[in-house]
Amino acid sequence: MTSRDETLSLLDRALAAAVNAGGDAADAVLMTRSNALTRFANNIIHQNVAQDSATLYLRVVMGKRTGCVRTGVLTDAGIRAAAEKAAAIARSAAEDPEFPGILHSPTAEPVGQFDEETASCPPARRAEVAGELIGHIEAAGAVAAGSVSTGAAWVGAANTAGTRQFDRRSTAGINVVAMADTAAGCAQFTGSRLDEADVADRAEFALQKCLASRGPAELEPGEYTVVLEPAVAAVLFQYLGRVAFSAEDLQRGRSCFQGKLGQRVLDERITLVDDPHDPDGSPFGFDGEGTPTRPVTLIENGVFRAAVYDQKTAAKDGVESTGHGGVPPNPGGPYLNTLLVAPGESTIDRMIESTGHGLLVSRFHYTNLAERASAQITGMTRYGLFEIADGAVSRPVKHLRFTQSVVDALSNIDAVGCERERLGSAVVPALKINSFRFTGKSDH
Amino acid sequence: MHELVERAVGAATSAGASHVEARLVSDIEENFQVKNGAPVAALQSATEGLGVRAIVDGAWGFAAVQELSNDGAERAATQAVEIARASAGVIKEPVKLADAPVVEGTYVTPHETDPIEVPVERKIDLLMRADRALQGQPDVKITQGFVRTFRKRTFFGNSAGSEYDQTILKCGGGIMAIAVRDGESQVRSYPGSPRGLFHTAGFEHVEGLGLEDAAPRVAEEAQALLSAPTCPAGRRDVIIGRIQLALQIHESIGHPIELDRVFGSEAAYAGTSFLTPDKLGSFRYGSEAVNIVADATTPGGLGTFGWDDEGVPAQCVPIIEQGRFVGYISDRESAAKLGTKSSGAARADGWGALPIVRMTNINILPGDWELDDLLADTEGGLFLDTTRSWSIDDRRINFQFGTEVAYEIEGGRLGTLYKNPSYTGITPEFWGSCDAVCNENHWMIFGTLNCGKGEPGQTAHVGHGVAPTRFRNVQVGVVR
Repeated sequence: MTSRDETLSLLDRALAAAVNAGGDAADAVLMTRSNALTRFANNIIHQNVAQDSATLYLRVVMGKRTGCVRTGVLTDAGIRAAAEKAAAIARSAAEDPEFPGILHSPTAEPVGQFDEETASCPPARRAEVAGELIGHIEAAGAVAAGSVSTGAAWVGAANTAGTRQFDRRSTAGINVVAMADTAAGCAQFTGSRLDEADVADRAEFALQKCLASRGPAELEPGEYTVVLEPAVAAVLFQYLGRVAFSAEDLQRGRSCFQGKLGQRVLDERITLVDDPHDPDGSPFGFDGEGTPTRPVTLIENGVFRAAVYDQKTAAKDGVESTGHGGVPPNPGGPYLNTLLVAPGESTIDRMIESTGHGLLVSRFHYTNLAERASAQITGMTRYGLFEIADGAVSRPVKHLRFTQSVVDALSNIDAVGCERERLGSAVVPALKINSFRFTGKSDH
Repeated sequence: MHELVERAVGAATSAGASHVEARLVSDIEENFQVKNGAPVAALQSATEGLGVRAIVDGAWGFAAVQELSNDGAERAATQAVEIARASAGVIKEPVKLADAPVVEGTYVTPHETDPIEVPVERKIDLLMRADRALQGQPDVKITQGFVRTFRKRTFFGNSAGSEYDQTILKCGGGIMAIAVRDGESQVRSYPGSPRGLFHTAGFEHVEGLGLEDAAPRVAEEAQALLSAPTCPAGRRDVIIGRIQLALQIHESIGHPIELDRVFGSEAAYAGTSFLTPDKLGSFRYGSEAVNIVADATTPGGLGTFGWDDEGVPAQCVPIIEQGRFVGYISDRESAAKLGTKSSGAARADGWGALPIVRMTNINILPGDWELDDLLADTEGGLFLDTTRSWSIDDRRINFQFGTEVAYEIEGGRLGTLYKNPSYTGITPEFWGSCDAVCNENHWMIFGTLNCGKGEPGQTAHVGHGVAPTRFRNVQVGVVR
């Protein structure tokens, strides 16, 4: 189901089946995916997989009661059975007084980035890229691990109130790690076209990080000035996104910025926008409820400006959804799409040069929320941690555990990088932060 | 052998594969959630498809299709062979598989009531009653409950002649109260972590959880946590309750013993392991009180089955004996590298995923202690339970976990309640500080539905048999 007509035709059949099954109204999403991934470790390809799938999500509505099904059986009989099951669930379900009903949305302009060659990339091409990454790293005496992925998604959404949407996107990813003993370096690429990846550059970046991090010295935990590469800074914003901006959290009193709309909550150099249309991010035209996506300025020069809404939370506050809903049922409420952090004026080199004593952090690993109210997170450093002394990287050090409030960290900004990197659906610059707290250490 | 499985195995063999496995999997899952007295999710998911894994010229290929037809089976087989051929050009050594017996049979999870067949009304009514019982505390602003049920049927066949028909039933649920005041929120959940308590079992497991009965206490504790003092930091003796010990075992034993991880397969994603093969048989993982097995036969465990996804029979494998590290969990490929047999731990996340080494049920064997005696023997210590946050490094050495509650142990009983507790440690030092495990009266199987590994990401359901366990001189809270 990779064309607009095929997709909407199937959705129409699903909606008709929902009405025939007794629904007052219904909405449906069809997601067709083609994904393939070639994985390598110890300088060889060891896993190589491909999967095609299409999944129908159907919600049948009876007054304030709803029932949902998700099925991969897309024959007429399969769709009919899914609609009948959803109707049976709806009949048995209790009423949800906050359910806003099935709403009409205008047709969204397709903004997804799509490259046919990437969508249908053959395994030999992925193996070729993997071979280049492996060859570059192995030639330097290091060991390569990682993956090369390609794929595409074709998504349609429709409902009985007349909403009809279709968009598509292709995806390409490289994750490469170079290892020597317990030292390791990592580099990534995320985009919509595999041919946009500078394969040699990614391999070289990982290799140099690995080589530079050999023979790490011990360093005691404590508070340090840190230079966070974009991949590390992205983690701070992702966790902030989880606890700050959902309208549902604000409605329930759980946001870490509760009661602070319009107030300065972060350093004035921080501006954060969720823009699902920005070509630097991962653009897509509509959300899981079929609502057109739109940009939302979350933080402007450190001031908390807005939350993101799905249809249910929007109805509760008497506003329009911002296009941040998940495919029904979505009990978790609205969530962020694409996080874009405004660039600053510094560079990683200038951040290091201006640091008397501190740490250059290449990656975080296994980060988790430790305390919600202060957006405190904990995790480990990975893929190269370096001590900075007198304005220069002086030596690699063994990995440390950090336990740090994101809000405090983003209020202690010393500098923001002028170049941004795309990491998943986030686009983030490097940051220099004062008084970042490390609370433990590892053995490597 | 199922007709389509046989056709896929035959097609891949004809196309040049030296070894083929095919799995036709039908998955049904139901998910019901209630939040603040209203249903927020009532969902049934159904998916079925066929996955084919083949070795050609010493390299693996895997492909999966949703279309269950002769054409679909042949397409998956052909694509798996094509992918394997593309990989063969860059391999250094051909894949070798440890020997495995040829198996044949049928397995169904022991149960009274198939959880998928239980009427929707019964599931929602159970949740609505529990949700009502969570109400009433002034600052409990969010109440939640959920029930999930699973039925997975797998037809397996391989080119050596193994075949089976396996149906795994799983179900469980949980409730949660979130108290919110002045921007602070505190969570209390029951009966497992916030993700519930799940077993391989019939729906009788869910109805035995006692969600409604436990709800008032859960809400009271969430309310009390708002006013509780913050857990003081320092070195303390601690008793880790069962729910939290399940996570402790999962992260600091279950993952490092995965043999594919030891050999570097996960190096670019989840990480590696400090448990290098030279440590097998000699490394002191913990004290003599620590005995751990990987047991895919534990009744009710989320990692309990008849055969794994390579057709290897379920088995119980010793991992740690009296503190000494004696075994890994493995699949046929990683076992061959070590020169042993597979431990039967190859598991795939559905038809579209290839099998990788996953935990089965990683259990601590019961010790000798009654819980009351252990509490009486730990005056001035802390009792910590219910997972709140977790983090561990890429070699599984340095961990930091947060729990929902901590209690001061005072006069042999649970005394002062503390909020925001956490503890941290180094894996072998921590297990080396273990000096008491409660007995079989306090032993129970817990587990998680959310064990992530692999690229593309796979989620496994794994079990952990646990009893309250004491550790000496543990760092509680973060070092300032």
